[in-house]
Amino acid sequence: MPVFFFRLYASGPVIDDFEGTALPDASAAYEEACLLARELMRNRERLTRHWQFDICDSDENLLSTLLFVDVDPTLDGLGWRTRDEVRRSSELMSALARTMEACRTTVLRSRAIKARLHGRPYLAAEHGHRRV
Amino acid sequence: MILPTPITANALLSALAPSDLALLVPHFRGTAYEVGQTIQEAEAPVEQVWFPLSGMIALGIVTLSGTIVETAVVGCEGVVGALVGLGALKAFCRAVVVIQGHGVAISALRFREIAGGSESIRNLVLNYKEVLLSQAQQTAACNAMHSLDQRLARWLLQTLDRVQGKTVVLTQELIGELLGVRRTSVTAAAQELERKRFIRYGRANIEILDREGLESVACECYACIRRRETDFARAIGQSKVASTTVS
Repeated sequence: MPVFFFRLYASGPVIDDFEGTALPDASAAYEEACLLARELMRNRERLTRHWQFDICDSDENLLSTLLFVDVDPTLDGLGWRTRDEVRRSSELMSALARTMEACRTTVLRSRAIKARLHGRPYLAAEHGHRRV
Repeated sequence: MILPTPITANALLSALAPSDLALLVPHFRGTAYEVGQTIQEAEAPVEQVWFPLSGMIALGIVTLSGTIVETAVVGCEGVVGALVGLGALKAFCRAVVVIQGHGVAISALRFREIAGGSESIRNLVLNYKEVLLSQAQQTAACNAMHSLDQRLARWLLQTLDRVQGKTVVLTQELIGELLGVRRTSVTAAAQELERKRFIRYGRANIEILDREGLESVACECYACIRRRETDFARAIGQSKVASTTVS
């Protein structure tokens, strides 16, 4: 059975799934991502609607994405127009969070390169990810 | 077997007057238990009453799919299966070892006989059951109202209170099963806590780096449970002093 990986983009550095989960196919992996999203957002839906799962295969190919707002049960009673607005703002927040994280990574990398040039110690990796 | 810790490491046994403890001790059997060992099965007759001296046992409800969802945890502050001392002969939940350790066990029928003849043992068990019930009630409210990161923090703190040191040796699969969520969700929630530098986690262990930080993430449920347990420990300590003074 193929193994799928669920990479989580929350409000900081990407949260990697190093172990993965064996599932029958990509469709089952998407269903699994929906269940995981509901578990992670339960009782804090407002704060986590902009979180996103990237669903990847074992070769790190991106198969699909899931924005948490799409499985937020607290929006079920709202009209389509309101839901659409919430979704759009969640998309923007998700994009903003990724951009801020990319900026932070760039700053870290710049500092590391500068430190290396001067022969000083530098942060080579953070949370299991190489920075330089 | 020779136990690595004295039986007074158990708070309930420690709180008993020497005369009451002397009734139980001849019938105790020292035992070691391993992670995953089921020491009590739901809806089955209770055969042994367990007094943990170390380690931790989770009491849980078994779902139709066969998974167990934790409702309370018991360490050296409590007892498993003691309701039998008050007349109930069947267990209401499954008891599974989640942190390996040692304890003493006594035949449930023997314990019932002894408790029947000792009001102080009966009262101690009854009072402890109230504390355990309040823990189960708080856990039920927590499961319904709070987010996974809060519940994980609460669970880690409860576990930390029952182990030596700052490392919890437990797989994320088992934590997920006890919290009623998938392993991947536990990994993500644990990584959130690790980013805040409150914990450091590996495949089969979690090291607590910042207890106060973890308490700031945990919901109020941990503080409630902790306060009730502390009040109970203080109360039984005082009652022992009183009974010793009287005798």
